[in-house]
Amino acid sequence: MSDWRELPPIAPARVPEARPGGLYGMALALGVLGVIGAVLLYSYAHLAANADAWPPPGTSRPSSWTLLAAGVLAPAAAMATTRAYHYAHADERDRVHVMGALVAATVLSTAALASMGVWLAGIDGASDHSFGAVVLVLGAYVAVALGVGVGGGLLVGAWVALGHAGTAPADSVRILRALHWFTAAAGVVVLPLLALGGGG
Amino acid sequence: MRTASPDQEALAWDPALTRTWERNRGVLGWLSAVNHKDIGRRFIYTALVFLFIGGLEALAMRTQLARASSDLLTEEFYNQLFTMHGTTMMFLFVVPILEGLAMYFAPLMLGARDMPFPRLNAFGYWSYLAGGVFVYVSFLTGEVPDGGWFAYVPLTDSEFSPGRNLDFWLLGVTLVEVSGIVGALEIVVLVLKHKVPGMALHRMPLFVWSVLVMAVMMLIAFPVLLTASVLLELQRKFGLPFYDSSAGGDPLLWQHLFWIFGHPEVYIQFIPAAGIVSTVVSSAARRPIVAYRYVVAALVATGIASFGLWVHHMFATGIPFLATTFFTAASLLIAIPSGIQVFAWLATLWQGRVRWSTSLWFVVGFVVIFVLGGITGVMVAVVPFDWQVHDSFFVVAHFHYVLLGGVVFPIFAGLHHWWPKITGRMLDERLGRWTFWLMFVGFNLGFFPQHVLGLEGMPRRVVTYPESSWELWNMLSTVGSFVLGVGFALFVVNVVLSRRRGALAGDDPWGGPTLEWATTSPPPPYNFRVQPHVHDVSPCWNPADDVDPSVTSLLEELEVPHDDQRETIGTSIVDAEPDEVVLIAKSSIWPLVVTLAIVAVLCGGLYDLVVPAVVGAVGAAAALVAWLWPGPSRTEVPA
Repeated sequence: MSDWRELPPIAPARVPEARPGGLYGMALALGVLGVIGAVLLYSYAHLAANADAWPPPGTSRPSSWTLLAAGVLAPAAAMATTRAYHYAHADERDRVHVMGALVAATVLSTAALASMGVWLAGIDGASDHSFGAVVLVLGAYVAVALGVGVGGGLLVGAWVALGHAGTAPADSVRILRALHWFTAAAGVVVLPLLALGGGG
Repeated sequence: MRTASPDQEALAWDPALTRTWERNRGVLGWLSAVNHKDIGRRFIYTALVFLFIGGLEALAMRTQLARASSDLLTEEFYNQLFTMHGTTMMFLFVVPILEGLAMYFAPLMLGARDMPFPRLNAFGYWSYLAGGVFVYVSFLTGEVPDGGWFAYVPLTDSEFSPGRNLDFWLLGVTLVEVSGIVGALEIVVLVLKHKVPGMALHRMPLFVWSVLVMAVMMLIAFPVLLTASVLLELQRKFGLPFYDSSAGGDPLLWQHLFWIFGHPEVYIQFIPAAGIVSTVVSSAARRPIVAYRYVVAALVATGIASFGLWVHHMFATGIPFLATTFFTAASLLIAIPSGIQVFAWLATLWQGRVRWSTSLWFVVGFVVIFVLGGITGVMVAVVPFDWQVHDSFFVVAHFHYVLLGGVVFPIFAGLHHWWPKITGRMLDERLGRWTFWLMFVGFNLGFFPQHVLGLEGMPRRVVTYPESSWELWNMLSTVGSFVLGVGFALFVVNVVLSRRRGALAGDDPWGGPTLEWATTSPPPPYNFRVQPHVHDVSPCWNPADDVDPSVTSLLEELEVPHDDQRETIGTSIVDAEPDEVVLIAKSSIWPLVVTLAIVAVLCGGLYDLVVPAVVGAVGAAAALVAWLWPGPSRTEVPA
């Protein structure tokens, strides 16, 4: 079905190869998030390089299974959002398929976020040594990115569900897709460090 | 009867476009304003208020230091003053006023009708204002930040700064950093997507190039301080020992992170100031800038190189020899792109037909002072010399020569150059020249003696000193600072007189080359009735004559608002070929509501109050949804 209400066009609204300004905005915002992630990784490396022992003796870490779950679920959510974008971008815009893919993406992101939450809750002694502290903030960084992805999924899903006047979702879903893939990539970089990280 | 600014009828603003683009009436309309000129003006005016507050703090310190063994100020208050002075000037004055000038003038210079995300722009202003007020509210609670503007750990850890003083600083500055980041994001997307047809990258005004480089640098540098500040607040609040050496942390990590932000910050300020200088020089010399492409390359090179210099602030911390060698070399190398620009400006003036104005006097003053500051910069880049003068008044003199001479003088050049465009009325040239000479003489009298004080061994940040030869130099420095202060005050007098009885400016009082002079003074809410098409770096001097008819008809189509939508042209990044009709968001109160909700969260965190923090967080999320909820859109309608 094709039920996006379209307003009368003027001029060419956009040539096919042009990208929306919002996508550039999101790319830059993700760049900022990337810088924050890089600062946290630099902090980890700096502290590890200057520590007598890293991790300190007697450190216990929560089970890595929850990290593995988050590491699998985050890319799966990104793939679902990619599907939603393809549906939204197709000539025959199909609200049901777009909604289905967005719901799947949001559920997967939420599950990944929950996994990270369980892992973070298992950390103890973060205030005893900088190792625990920096691991905690790195995990929280991934969790925040996942949380933003969940919020974005709910927001875009609501737009689609309510069929807001004149708003076709392809741009919004495209921007959400960028966010989800960024989160998946951040997970790929950070989660192995949290599970296996050493150094010193 | 004279009005404060020329009225709409006299300026022949288009009624339909004005209705579509102007802000709503009343207080709510004022609070909901998102237009780039409204936001730009607010940034500029608010930053000037902070400049005068920071200036008063400086005068209080200079009064204390005028005589030996003075007890005018307590040690505690002196610490608070130098902290707040540095914080105000670095975070609340220089960057915000440059952002304000960029937000006001970059869209005009590009021929655009507004910034790409005007609500984000408004949020940037409100969070800047809230951050500044947040830091200054500490005066009311008696917990004024006192750890210096670079807040070195462990001094600023909760063990040595147990009050809320540093929390005010960390949270307030973080909010200002967020403001800077969203403003930078806006500027980059503006430059990439909202140039008018024909304004390819190689035809962009140098001021726009400079704010593009500034914005990219801000997107890289500001998140570094933001993250470092959050880590320090987590250490202070929850005991997470990132910087605590007794628990595996490292105080030097703070210094690294701070200066990875802090040194580019100097160039974040200098680069747009250089863009202003290029603008004023080209306009005053009545010819395009000499070596345009080399100047652009110099701006970009300066921006890139500035990220490789931060360790020269840490030469005295025991950095390995190889690292100091590298950072010394990098610090010396950055003089090259700066030198290219200085020679380009001098050559432009040399080859032009120079018309002297107050703004050009400020440029001349800038060149003299900045070159001196650059020379002392090269001196402190040499490690053995740096060890001798580290944390002395020599360093204070050096960075004031660079920042006040190298940034504030160009800002005043820009203000005198662009004030007629903003208000529609001229500033008085005679008062302007008095302002310049008072500032120039006052500045040099105020800061040159500090070189001598530093070489004689006077440390910075001391509340007093014993009777010695330092007293003469300190007295001279204090007298100079008051002369400088009179110069600033005279600028305010000029602004007030201009508003009351300044001569009408007309569209283009300077015969300027760039597009801001192709519209009325002040510009209408929509900037251009028909957005221009350009094919030269100086479009006002060389207007496009062989315009593609399809582009002309597209631009003329946007002369009439459709369905009361705010429409502007979007173009490709490199060649500025038209590729989109962009709908710009309308006025909204939600950016202000989001900011207030964030402030509630910060207050809750500061005073350990759960309810305000939770209410603020929920309120921010709800307001964000309302903000982002889309209105009617045409952007995805096929041709």
